[in-house]
Amino acid sequence: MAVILPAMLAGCSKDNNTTTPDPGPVTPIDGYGRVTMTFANYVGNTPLSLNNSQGYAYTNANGDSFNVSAYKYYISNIKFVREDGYEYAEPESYHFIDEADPASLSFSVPGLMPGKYTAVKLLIGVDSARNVSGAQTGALDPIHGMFWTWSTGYIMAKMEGNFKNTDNGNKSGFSYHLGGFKGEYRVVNEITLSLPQDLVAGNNTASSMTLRSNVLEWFAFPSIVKLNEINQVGSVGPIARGLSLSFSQSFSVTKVEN
Amino acid sequence: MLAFYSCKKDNVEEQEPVAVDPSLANIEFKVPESWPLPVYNFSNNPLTKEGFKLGRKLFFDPILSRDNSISCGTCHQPFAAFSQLDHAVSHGVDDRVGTRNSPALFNLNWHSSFFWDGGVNHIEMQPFAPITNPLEMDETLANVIAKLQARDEYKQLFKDAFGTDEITTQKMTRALAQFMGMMVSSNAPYDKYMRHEGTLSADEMAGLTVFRSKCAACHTEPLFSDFSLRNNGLALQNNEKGIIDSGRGIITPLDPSSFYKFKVPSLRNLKYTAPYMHDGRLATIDAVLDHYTGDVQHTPNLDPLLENGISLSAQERQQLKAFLNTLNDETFVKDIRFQEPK
Ligand code: HEC
Ligand code: HEC
Repeated sequence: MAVILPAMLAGCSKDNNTTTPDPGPVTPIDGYGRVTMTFANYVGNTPLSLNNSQGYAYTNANGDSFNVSAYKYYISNIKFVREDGYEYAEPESYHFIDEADPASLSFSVPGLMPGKYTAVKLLIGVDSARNVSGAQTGALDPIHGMFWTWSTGYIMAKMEGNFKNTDNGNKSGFSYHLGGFKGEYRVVNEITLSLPQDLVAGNNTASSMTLRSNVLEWFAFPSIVKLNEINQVGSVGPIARGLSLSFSQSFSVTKVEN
Repeated sequence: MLAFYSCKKDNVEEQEPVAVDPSLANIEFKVPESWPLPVYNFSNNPLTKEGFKLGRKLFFDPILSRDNSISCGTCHQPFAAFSQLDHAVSHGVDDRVGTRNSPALFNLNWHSSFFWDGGVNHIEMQPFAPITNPLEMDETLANVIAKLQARDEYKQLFKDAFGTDEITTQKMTRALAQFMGMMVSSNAPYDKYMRHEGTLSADEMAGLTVFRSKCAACHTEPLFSDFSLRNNGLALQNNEKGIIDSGRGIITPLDPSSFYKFKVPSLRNLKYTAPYMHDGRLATIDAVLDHYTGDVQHTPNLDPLLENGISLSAQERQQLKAFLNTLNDETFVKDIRFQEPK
């Protein structure tokens, strides 16, 4: 059965290629540590590249050949877990990661109380509070095109590209827009990632952390995704929910440096 | 020295009397006596004269549309209580025809959701929909912001309103929310009667009684809506796009109990807001009453209150119409604060 959930109706906002304004250097907070977080998006073991729309650079588990033209998501409510259980929550923690905008892939979090941190918690998506409290700005500005205007709510993650349709060999588009901030089909998931090595914060220390997401793991839901069957996802429902779970589980921390 | 200084200052004041724009003289949000508290009360978006002025300018400026041809005010006209006169459904850029009737706009701060299907959850989020809807203004947010930033006049207006000339979508929609939120309609003869400032005729009073027993469960006083989503039994018919509008079903397609439900509209200002219903299918109040008395369809999710339609004797009908007339607020449609600036 072909499952097609059309991106619905007129009000869908168009994508636009605005870049995130550079937030400028983050001022260290005296007596505390700082960590630079870098998001590296991968396809299996290969860094994702958006610049191969002519051919099909990648193959998923079903054997579909595909390429990726857009890859964007929200990370929010970052918390650092110290070995004694204390958690440092970044204030105003909303980050828009857009593979097409290198400046968006990396940001700095100051204010870590001294100590050894062993894990990081992330919300993949935007918490429900910011979906219901009116106009937002910065990372949450609807200008980034990560927003459903006709049925209020953020698009938590977006992947678009082309695939080779195995029925007829034609090039076809696919578009996964994952939204839904409440109820059984919410696509906002909290994940806890252990660190491969302790993050040690001290007086004015600067650490770094590299996090990886994996495009291939999107296609793990519900069983192996066949692009011929699931290629347009643009509304709240079980498919978006399932894709969001596989996507969230694709994250890992690959490197910590102190 | 001191005396000289203050004397000079007095002179300066005399030479430059502060010109008061009468349309901005009274920008203050008041909850009308005995009304419930509003959902939106400007707590995150402090209402100011300057913010209201900017919002009004934006509302009537076609710069928000792709080809600079259509403003919010094109579809929401002040003299029509901010609905669109004589248009069953909206007409956007390139004369593209929409599928729904432009609703009247007033008392929006009491709305818990926006649009006929309640799909938008906040007054500040609402403007993003018409601006980006291809059938309405068909513009991108990035372009709108770039166009506004390129105009010195807007830079100044944003600076006056928000203290900085940096223009963002948030400031734009907050200014629009200040203008729209100020649009309170609470001066109809009904309101004056309720405030003991005026009286209703015997017929109108009888009509109020009819109204309270037959209509008020959904069209609840004093806003004349409970803002819930319901199916009032309109026949399912194809819209301009050749499909049946499933109302709330568009927002929650996986929930069969949401289909064909629409937000209960207010019954204030009906004199100015014809045609009626989500697709403007009924041209007159008589047609609306004919619907409730004789044409309620048993479509899926019909509201239980309308299971047997609504019975109205000829006299009750005439009294009800007299009462509905007392909900027309002429001071609202003529309010100089809400007219297109010259
Ligand atoms: C092309 C005509 C058109 C334009 C232009 C337009 N609107 Fe609307 N407006 C509509 C229609 C039609 C609806 C109902 C849409 C629906 O329910 O799906 C609506 C609904 C609304 C509502 C919700 C009212 C309610 O009761 O829920 C508000 C508020 C509103 N518009 C404000 C605006 C603002 C602000 C602008 C300019 C940024 C604007 N409109 C531009 C046609 C238009
Ligand atoms: C069960 C709830 C319910 C009851 C009772 C009810 N209505 Fe309605 N009414 C609605 C809903 C829902 C709509 C919007 C339907 C749509 O557009 O699809 C509506 C629409 C209207 C409209 C159109 C307003 C506009 O701006 O388009 C009028 C007028 C109206 N009703 C008058 C009445 C009168 C008069 C009565 C009593 C005789 C009444 N209604 C009883 C739910 C109700």
